[in-house]
Amino acid sequence: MATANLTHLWQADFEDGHTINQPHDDRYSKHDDSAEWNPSAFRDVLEYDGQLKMFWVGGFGINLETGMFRPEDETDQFSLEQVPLTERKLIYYRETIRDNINGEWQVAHVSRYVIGYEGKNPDGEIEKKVLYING
Amino acid sequence: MAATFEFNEDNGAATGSPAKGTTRNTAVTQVNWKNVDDVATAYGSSPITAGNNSFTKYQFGKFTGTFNQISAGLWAHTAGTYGSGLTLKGVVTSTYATPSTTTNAALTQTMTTAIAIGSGQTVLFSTVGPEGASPTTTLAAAGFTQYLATQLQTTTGASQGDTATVTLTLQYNEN
Repeated sequence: MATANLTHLWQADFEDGHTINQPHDDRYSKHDDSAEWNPSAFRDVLEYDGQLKMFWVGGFGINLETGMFRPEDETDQFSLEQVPLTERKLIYYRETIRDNINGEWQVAHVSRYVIGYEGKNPDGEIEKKVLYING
Repeated sequence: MAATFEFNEDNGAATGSPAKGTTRNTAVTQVNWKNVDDVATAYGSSPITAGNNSFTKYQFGKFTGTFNQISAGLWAHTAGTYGSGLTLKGVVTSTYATPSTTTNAALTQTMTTAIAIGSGQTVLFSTVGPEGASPTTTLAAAGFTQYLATQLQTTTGASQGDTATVTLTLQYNEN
């Protein structure tokens, strides 16, 4: 058995002031110890009954209201939008690698953390805007 | 914690519908192509004679533990170069056939040359098993990858001894 270690934990800030921080064990609030599988804590973000405003991971945040990215320790913001997008939806995942070197399976590791969003452009097409953060 | 992942390998005669191996080995730590259809035998004890093929390997991943969703599975030979006379054939598939050393025509992809993982073969998922019909692009419960089937094929000119060091990579997204 193997799991990839998480070097960057996320934080989700909602419009109503509620914040969810990813626990080190990534436990979902309704975790069932007897189950073979449980959702991760990210499921709590998806299920929270409120508007997600900011999502942070690896020193970067994305404002889903404005589409602006910004480093955690700076006030400068930047956008990846060529045209304004609407109906932004969070994208967050970890690219995970299992290498087999010379016949031996290696321990899983996260190669990149990916944050951003998808939104609708004026033509109604979906565009994705993401940042890649080294794992 | 993240998803808990282990490799498994099916061996033996195809059984059931959809077909899978008679023996399912769990927590497999290596993939060595050899002249026997099992996990345990050391490859040095059952080497491939030049001009012959290995038994086809049917390995797959099993996901349990903690994750919201697994997606975007990719599989490729990503580093290293095989010596002359060696060809690695493979395919990502939900179809299991009794492994043998006969050239496996179902392995339609030549994996001898390293490529970027982004150009790898698409890997789908199933909660049933690697043999599960109608595999999906995402997994949101305990489940499996499809079979990552491979066979090392050799010519009579292949050099004896271990192959050069190569890297095979399975990549997936999780959150």
